[in-house]
Amino acid sequence: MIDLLLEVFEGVARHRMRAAATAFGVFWGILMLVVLLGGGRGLRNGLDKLFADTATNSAWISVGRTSMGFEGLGPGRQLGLTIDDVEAVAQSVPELANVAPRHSAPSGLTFTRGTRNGAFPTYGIYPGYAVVERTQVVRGRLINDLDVARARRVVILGVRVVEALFGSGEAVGQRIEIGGVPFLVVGTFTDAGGEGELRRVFMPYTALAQTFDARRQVNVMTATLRPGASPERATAHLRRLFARRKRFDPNDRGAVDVWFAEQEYRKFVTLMRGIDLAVIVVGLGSLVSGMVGISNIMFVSVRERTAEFGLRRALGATPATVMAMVLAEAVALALGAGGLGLLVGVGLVEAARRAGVKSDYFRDPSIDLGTALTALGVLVATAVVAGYFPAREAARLNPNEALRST
Amino acid sequence: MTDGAMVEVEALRKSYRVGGRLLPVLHGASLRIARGEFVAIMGASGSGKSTLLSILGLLESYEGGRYTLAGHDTRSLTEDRAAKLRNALLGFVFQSFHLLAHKTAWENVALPLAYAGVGRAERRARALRLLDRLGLAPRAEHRPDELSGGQRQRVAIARALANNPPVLLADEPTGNLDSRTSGEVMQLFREIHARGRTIVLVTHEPDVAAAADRVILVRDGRVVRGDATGGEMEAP
Repeated sequence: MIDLLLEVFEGVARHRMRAAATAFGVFWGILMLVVLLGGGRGLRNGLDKLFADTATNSAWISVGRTSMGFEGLGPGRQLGLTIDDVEAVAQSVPELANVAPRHSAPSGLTFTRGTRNGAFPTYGIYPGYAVVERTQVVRGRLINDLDVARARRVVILGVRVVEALFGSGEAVGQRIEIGGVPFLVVGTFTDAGGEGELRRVFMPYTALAQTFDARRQVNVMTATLRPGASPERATAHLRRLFARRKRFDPNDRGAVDVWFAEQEYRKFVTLMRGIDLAVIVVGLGSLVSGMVGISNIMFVSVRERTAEFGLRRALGATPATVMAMVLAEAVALALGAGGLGLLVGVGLVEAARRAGVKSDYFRDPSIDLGTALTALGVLVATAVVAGYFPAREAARLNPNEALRST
Repeated sequence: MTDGAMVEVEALRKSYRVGGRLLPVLHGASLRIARGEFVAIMGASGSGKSTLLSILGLLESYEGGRYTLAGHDTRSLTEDRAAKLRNALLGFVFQSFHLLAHKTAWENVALPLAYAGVGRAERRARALRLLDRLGLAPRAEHRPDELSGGQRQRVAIARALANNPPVLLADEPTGNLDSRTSGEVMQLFREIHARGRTIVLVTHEPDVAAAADRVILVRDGRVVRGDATGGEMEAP
């Protein structure tokens, strides 16, 4: 084995420039493959993060402006949602669960707790909203049905709001004033949706409506799709229901906007599959080109060393020994160059991760061990295939003719 | 096999396909070489003497007849078996030396030992001993392009002797050497023969052939003279 390795080293060292040029092709191919795979993972992580703070079965329903005339009413009519619409959807759209309103409190409300104060986005909700938003309780509890039924003046605070008003002190059980009205803090929460969502405050919709005169208005309605339910059927149901309640043409696409996270997620998943496929095609293309390069250099090497192989056969080398020599050289070239490409690629991906390269759609690029090992396995297989044909040619040489080839 | 015969060839036939036509090279060559004999094979260019040597060296197959080497029937050898027999029984010396340019003298000498499964340290020790015997110890770490023609051929002879094979096959071993160096190399062959080794040497130089015990003459693919008494030995 040591002899074989020494022969391989000598073989590569004899044609350093040629070997380096071929090796660079394999190095670059593997490097590109690893960087693309790492980037693809970053893209997937970014999209996962984008959907992480929202249930993948969530639905967001809002109404807009009509674009078609209907029963004597002209187009361009601004529609609005009310809490009655929320109740109607909850009762008559069987595909949906956790139907909830979300309505903003008037802007400019001041939060006061002792000497501390601030202003935070505040919403009135039903308990179902927390399911859609995947709100995580840190201390205390979330808004519940009894809070809504009794229009209790209770709030749950995002953790940044707690820091602003309470510092490191306990918030649950304490009273704060919102726009001069006292509210009891019953819980604190966190949310995977980022900093903005941690600065929010939620209260029962009924309390918000009573306290801040919401006049039954609702900005947006949320829900979750029941397991096995079709988003398309739910959308059709909603359109019919709203068309009847708001008096617009059921075919008016602009009047109602229904956004299903699942449908969007599916689009992204399809996009990701396309990207994965592209990465595989590009990666395989690189590998095949590297394989052809190695195969070519090995064919040239076998032709140049014909007399040497003839001599070795005359001195007692078996065809298998000669084949192993050529194959080992091909595998060593591919493994050396590909291994280096793999290392540099993983290094670049890791450096990008550590440097915090990220955007809305891209974060934490990485190469997992399984992917790296798969790439290495594919590389070895590629090298064996690349080396096999030249090695077979060397092994099949007639030793007498080979000796006379000089 | 006849008692005492190292090489026994009977009615050997061999042809090559050239441009789609079958060109007979040996048609019924027969010869017998005793153990420890020094034989020179002579013949005109194209007579078939080199083909005969290639078959004796198990580097070429043959189509008909029989060839027994040290008691081994060589008719239907596998490639692996032929390689093992070459390694164990035969040493080759070529006109153009066939030394590997990227290896040192001792590494070239040690090559057959590697295929015999001898460890690296032992290979080096044995190669150095051989080079010392042939007066090349100071050149052991030199590569072929740093050696003279005579030195290269002596390295090739050392390589042929490395596995201590009973038979040495030499194809025009002095063909690329000047007359003084040729004389030195032939003296070396005589010394090797004196130690009991069988030597079969192909040459077209009568001076070189004169060093042998016996001269076998090949003409038109047949052995036309060459038994120990110098009489005709036609193929059957």
